[in-house]
Amino acid sequence: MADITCPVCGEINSADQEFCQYCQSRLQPLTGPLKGADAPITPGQFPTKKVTADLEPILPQWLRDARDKARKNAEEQAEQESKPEPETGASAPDLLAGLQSQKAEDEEETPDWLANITGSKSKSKKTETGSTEVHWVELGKPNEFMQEGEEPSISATQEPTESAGEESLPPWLAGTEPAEGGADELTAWLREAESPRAEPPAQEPSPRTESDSGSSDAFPRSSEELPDWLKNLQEEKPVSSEVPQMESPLPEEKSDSDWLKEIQNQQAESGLESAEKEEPFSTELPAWLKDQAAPSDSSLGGVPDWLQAPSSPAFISEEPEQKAEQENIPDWLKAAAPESSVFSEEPAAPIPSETPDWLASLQKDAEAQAFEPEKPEEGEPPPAFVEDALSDLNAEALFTEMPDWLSNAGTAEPPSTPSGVPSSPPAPSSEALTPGELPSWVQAMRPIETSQAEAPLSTSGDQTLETRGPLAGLQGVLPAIPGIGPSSKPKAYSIKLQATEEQQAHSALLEQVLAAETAPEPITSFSPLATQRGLRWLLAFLLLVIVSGVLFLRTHVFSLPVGETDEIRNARLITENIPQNTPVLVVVDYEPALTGEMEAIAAPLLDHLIILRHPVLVFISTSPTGGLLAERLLSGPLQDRGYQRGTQYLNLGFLPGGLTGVRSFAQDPVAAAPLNIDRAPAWIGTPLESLTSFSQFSAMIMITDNAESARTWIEQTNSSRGAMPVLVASSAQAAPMIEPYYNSGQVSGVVSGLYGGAIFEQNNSGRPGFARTYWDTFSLGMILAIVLIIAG
Amino acid sequence: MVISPDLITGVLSFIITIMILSYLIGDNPIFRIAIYLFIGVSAGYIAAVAWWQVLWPKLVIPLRSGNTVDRSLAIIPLLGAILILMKVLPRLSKIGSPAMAYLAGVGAAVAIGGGLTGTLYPQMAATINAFDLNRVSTGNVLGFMGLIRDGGVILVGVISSLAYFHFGARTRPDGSVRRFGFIEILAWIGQIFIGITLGVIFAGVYSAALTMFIERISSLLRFIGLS
Repeated sequence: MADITCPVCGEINSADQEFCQYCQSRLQPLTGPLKGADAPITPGQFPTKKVTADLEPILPQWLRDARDKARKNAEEQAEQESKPEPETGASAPDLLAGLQSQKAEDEEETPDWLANITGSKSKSKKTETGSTEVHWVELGKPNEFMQEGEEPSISATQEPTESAGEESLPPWLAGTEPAEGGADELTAWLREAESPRAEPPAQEPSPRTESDSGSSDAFPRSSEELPDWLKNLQEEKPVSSEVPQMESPLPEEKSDSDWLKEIQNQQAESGLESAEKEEPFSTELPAWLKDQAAPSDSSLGGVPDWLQAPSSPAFISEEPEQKAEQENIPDWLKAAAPESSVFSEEPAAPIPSETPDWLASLQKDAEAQAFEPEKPEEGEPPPAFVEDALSDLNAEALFTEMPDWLSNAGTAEPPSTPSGVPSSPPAPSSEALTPGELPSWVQAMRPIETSQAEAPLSTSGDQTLETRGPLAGLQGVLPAIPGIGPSSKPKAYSIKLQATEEQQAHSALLEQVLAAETAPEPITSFSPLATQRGLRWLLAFLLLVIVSGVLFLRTHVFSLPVGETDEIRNARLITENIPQNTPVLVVVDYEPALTGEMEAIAAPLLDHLIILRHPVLVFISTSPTGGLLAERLLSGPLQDRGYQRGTQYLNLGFLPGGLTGVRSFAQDPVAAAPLNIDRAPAWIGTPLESLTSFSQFSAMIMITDNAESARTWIEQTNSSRGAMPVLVASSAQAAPMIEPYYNSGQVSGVVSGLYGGAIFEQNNSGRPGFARTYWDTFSLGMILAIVLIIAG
Repeated sequence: MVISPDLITGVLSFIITIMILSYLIGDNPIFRIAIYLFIGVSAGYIAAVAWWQVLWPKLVIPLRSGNTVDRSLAIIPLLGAILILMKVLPRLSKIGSPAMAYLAGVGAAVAIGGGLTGTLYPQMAATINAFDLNRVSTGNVLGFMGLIRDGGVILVGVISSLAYFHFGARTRPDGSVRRFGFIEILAWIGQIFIGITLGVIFAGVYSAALTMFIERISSLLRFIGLS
């Protein structure tokens, strides 16, 4: 045997295995082998013949309950009412009255009407109480209900056409004899429907007995067998317009004729609308009902006109003339076709006393079906469901279309399907279908594959044939809302953020607000210029007034200082103890701006030294302006001493190189400074011609205004200085920084500021006198500073 | 009329002094002219001094009229000067790097050596010698106490001033960065000594500036004849 491929995991299993040995999925279908179908239906496969009666077990419970209830109601109505039904001519049996009889869950018997159709015995069917399986309801095509061996007179692809003058039942309607002798109610009313309308619709339906029998022929052979209600529908009578109730699955307690009468009344009251409309889902009387009034249009032999209704959509918005028919339709029947327009809540269209709308809708759906369940056309693979029909069954979907046996009744031309869907032959009634198997007519309803070739449509004017998707090949599947077409391709949306200008403006504004939050906020500061300028002017004015006034007045209010500090005393003592006529190095390293103070400090010291020791002064400077300042010093405050250049002093001028120049001079003064300020040999022909080392200087006097210069000379001459004393005449601003060198012994004496000059002047007999001139002004200025500091 | 140089000098000094003192009313063109004059004159004089007192006698004359030894010795500074001048051109600046490196190295060596021998060691010795008991005669308790006091003040001042410039700190658990507690105390004391030092320096600067101001006003009055 051929191996079976597991549909879940794809593994190959032996054919005799029921479950996959790899994934434990079922390999063998639950349903047993049926006639003509041993494997699940695959796309392209033609439907197999099924027995409609076999579907009884798979009927949903609610449908059975409705059927049973309808039967009960029919019986009750039959007992209560005794009105003839002239319109129909004969009391049409309740088509679905057989459902009423099957109320109980355990009463799963083959209905008589079904048995009559299939020709099989009505047998009890196993209960399926609580079964979760979805059961198909046989709504197949007439061919399915035919007995074996009978040729289908109508193919599923052929639309039901109206043949005139044919009174004989079509083959699919001919086989409606009950198998067990029980009159099939459906068969009966179908027969009655074919009978002329003269027959009063007095026939009471016997739904229970008739519907319980399965038969391959579900349609009456003659019009005498048509149910009364059906006969009444043949007559165009206005019926009351009432909105039929479709929610209740239970059948109303009415007889078949009564509900049919009601439908007719409804239609009459609401008024006939354009009967010429043959649009799908229109409000006009379905054609199959109209045909009842014109039996000559019937194209099929014996098929009542109401069964030969033109293509009309299944979902018809009810006309008022159909309302009466809808009212007469029992609820169980309405529940059997919940989506049918026959049971819609809209006002029914006027019924031409012919087939009910639900029947017409089913008929037209069958017409619009684009498949042939039995005959595979050459070159055109039949449609098929993409998915397993057993798994995706929806019981309610079954009632959206007219069964084939109803739709093809009275039609001469079988509906042409867009694809080669073979018509389903009548299913054999020998055995019931096991649950899970699709009947042939359901198989015929399988959608067409989108890759398959499409046959030309022969749909009615309003029904659209689905050409793609899972419902391909079906007509009238979608609600008949104008404008609905096939779903379009999803619109491609750009991934770019779609923002309107307003949104962009808002986002930009938000960005600005956020940026402003992080941006540093400038601190507004007041203009200090005004207040500082006034204060500066005030201070300047005070100083000018004090200084000018005191200088102008030449006051001597403040006495010169008396207290001699240690550093000044030492400086004085060293100055007084320098050997006479010895070279003394004088370093002039101060800026020209401080000439006033430095001359007031250095002049008394040098004057005292010159007067007492008559040294040979050697002036040198690490500043380019030092030589000029030295000359100024000798030609100004020390003018009276009459020192001559070249004999009493040397002016070596500028010593370049900074630290290295000082160190070089300390190592070899003659080589470091060979020329004087006049660019003449400085050492030749002078009293210092014999000087060869730095240590030969008797003292070094540094006149400086910054501590850096003093430190440079102190540091670089430390090794070469030896015992040579170092005196520093510094400005008041550099004195604190030079004091540590005095405390460390590196500097022998310090004369700092006007205070030191004043003390030296007192020891120099008041010469030159700058300190005395400046002292009162200096004192007042210092007092002013103290007052201002204290005052804040 | 013979205008003496002193008159010209006096007039110019008077005018420039007024121009400098015009800064009291704010920055003005007169003040800037005086400043520009000062800068210009200073730069010119410095350039003249550098040429006449350095380059000419020590570089040009040896190369022109010096002997072989003098010339050979003069070539080295000449070459160094040329290499340093290459620093002006960005493309050739790398050529003057060796000369600059030599100058930097020699200057650093001289500065470090002088700083160590001329400042650091003597200052350390002076700090230690502040507690030299030999400076106090035996039996002089006041002297001894004074010595200890003076030495202690100096020592505390030195240590606390040095601790003030210690910036090593650790992150505390609360996230703050602070120095060690003992260092913080010493730094606070050092702040006092440093503050006193800066105050003294400020007083000296003011004193010097006042003296200079007095000298200038006196010069003006003398020129005018009022003093």
